[in-house]
Amino acid sequence: MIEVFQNRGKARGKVKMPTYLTMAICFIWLFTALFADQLANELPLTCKIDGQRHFPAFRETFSKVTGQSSPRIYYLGKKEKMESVVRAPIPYSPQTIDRANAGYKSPLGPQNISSQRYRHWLGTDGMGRDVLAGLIHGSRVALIIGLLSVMAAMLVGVLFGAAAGFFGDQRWRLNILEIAGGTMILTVGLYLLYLQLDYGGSWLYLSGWLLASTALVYLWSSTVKTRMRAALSGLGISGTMGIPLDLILLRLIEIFRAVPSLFILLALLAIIESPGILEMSLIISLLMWPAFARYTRAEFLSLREQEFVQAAQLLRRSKNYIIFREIMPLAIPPIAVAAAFGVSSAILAESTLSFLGIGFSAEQVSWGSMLNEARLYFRAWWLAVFPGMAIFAVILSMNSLGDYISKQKTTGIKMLD
Amino acid sequence: MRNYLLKRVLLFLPTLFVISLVVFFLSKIIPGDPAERLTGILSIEGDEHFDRGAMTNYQRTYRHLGLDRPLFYFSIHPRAREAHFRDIERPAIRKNIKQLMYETGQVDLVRSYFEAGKALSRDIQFQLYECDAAVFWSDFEHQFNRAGSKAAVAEITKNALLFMPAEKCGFHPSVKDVVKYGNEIASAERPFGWWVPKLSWHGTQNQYHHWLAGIFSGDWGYSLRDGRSVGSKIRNSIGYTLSISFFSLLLTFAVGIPLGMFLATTKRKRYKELLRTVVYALYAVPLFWLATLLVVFFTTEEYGKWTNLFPSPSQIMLHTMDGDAGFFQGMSYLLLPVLCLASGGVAFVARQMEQTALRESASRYIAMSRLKGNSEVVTIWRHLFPNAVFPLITLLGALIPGLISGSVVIEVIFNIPGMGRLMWDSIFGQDWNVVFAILFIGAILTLVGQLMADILYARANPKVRYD
Repeated sequence: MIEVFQNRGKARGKVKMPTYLTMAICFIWLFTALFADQLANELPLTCKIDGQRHFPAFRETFSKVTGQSSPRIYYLGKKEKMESVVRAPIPYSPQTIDRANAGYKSPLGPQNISSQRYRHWLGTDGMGRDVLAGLIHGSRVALIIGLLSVMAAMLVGVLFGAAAGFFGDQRWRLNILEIAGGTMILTVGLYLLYLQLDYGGSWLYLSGWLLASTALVYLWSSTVKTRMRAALSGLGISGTMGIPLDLILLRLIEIFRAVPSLFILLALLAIIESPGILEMSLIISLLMWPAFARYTRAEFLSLREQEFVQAAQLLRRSKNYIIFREIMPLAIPPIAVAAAFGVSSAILAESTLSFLGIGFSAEQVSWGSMLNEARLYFRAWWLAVFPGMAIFAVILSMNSLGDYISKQKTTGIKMLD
Repeated sequence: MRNYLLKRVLLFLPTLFVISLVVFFLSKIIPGDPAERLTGILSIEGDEHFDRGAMTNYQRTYRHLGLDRPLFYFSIHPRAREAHFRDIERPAIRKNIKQLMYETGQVDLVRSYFEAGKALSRDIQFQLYECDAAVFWSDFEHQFNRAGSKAAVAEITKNALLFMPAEKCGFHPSVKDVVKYGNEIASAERPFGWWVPKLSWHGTQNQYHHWLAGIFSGDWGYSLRDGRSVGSKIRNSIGYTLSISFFSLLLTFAVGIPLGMFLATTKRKRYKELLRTVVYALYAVPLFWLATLLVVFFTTEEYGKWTNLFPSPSQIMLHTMDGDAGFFQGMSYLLLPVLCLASGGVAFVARQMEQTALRESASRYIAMSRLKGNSEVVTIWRHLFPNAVFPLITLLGALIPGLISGSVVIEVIFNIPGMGRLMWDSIFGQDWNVVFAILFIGAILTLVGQLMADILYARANPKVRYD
């Protein structure tokens, strides 16, 4: 289990770092991540080919967003024909191999370049790739990993934690027939899914998931439930049973705590060969959701005993209303704190994996994989220092952002009291 | 208290069961074949006509490892196919049989067909030489092993009549069988209801039971990579990890607690702010970056004569492999790893300590102590410190599993053959016996750590009651 948030509620009082530094780091990070293709690219920002104006670097971003094939090969082939070229500030892409500067060129030492415009400001690696370009494009990877994995982990963790905290072991009561029906539908859905995986027919896949999701909808939707209940009590069946949500959640958390996250990570990475950014974020979020579930559960446990909840219950507000409209707004600040710490630990996890050489495939540049190269060649201090500084700065800013929000949280609660 | 502990232990048993299931099935999903690895065969499917000796060797290993048994006590599967095909050693044939069963829905028929095919490929070698069948159809076995659909089976059946005509081979019984079953398969229609689930009970002769029984009887098995017993492998590496963990823990608390107390109680603003910033930054430094920086700058003479302060990771590996490092030399190897591990811990402990101390110092008993005229030293160390330090006990409990399993990152960077490194290598080498053993020990230690933290917490603070 990735622990996202080791000092919950204790970071009150001072914000330990000037927040303008935090904000500056965050803005630079966002800026480089958004405009990576324009900041560091071997394709020019704009140029003329056969009298026609082209914007290759922007075309590249566009193709990435829309999922088209990259214009890179086309433009690299037209290199000689380009006129009135405006280059990107760093005229290298992270994967550009500058053969003349291969073999770890220091940022301070002499470089084999035609003019200062082509200088590798932070040096090169063994193959001659520019370190600064890698840093800029790595910031995009870090941002996507951080945000995606936290969002996925929050979606699961907050919902599960809220349900477990609010309902506990007894308060979500279902009619015995409802439970039986729901379990049956779920079992059939899972069986059909298994059949699909085992055999390989597509209609089974679809119907299996349709059935499984209708089961979930069925369990959640209160209209179906009330109708069922009326019909059942008409038949004289009224036995209900509490669903032990809290017990299930606590056991799950215990399991995630007892199995080392390294094992789960390695196992999943072995199953998914050469994971992309999306797969990586999902794997990290799988290890992170228990933390979110734990904090949300704790918040809901304490909040559900408050008077405003009882008032809402007296007003016969629905359970969905009480959970999402009454309690959730008060639980958001601590969850936001956890999210800020979550971003930093997701980035830490990804860069550690890439550093160990088990993360992305070799073409995908990330800060961790750049650091990995520093272990091969000790003289190249720039490979060890700069990517690590980037990771450090981002983690530091995210941590202090979390502290900042948690300080806001305490004042917010005080105002409520 | 006793009831509480008993409840915790009892609740942990089902968790342990689920953990064992998760770990076991994850290890089965991960691609790779332990028997291939153990026999040194690169891929039994890769070579078209590979050596029969190697195949026999592979089959023997496969059975010896118990891979021919079903995975679990029972299995649920569609009526059209058998519960499992693990008695067949070659994965490609397993897949074909499954596919054929799905296409025809006739379990017994497909099995008989494959038995007949096996008999025929044996007979082509030993009995059908006289009628030149081997010359006619030398690659029968190859074709047969590749037939994974009704159409392919029909093709083979046709070829069987073509290549081994009755006048030459006298319709050898195995040829007859292949033709008969092949024709039946080619014309078979899948009966309605082939997808109806069926439960098969396998009893205790399954891989999971075998593995669990081995663990509980103290037989942890042998490493699948080098054949050494798992116990001896763990015994070899636990020493490194324990010493690193012990010293780094000692350093963490020896520095972190006084630092935290100092931060909470000092009146000197400038020192406080400086130290706070350092601690805060240290807390955010990625462990692997710190380790890399230390290795890059302080283990070689690249950056001046004096920077070669510590032994480099490759040196550490050489010496630990020989096992000839003396005590002091061994300690010098542990210096950097211990420093790295402790730095993050110090920051964490200091922050925790500072926060609890700040919270406690607002209490009335502190004001009371000052009012009584106690000196500041007595107030802080006699009254504040004991109350502020005991929440750290829960931290100690959380650290116990880490003591044994170690820090993988540190052990990989510094080439220390400890438990983390062993686990790392074993997962990559698919050495499941070793991985399982480490995970099992880790899971139990997690429980023990939590329980110990609970007990110590109750001992240290009589106000705490577990009901």
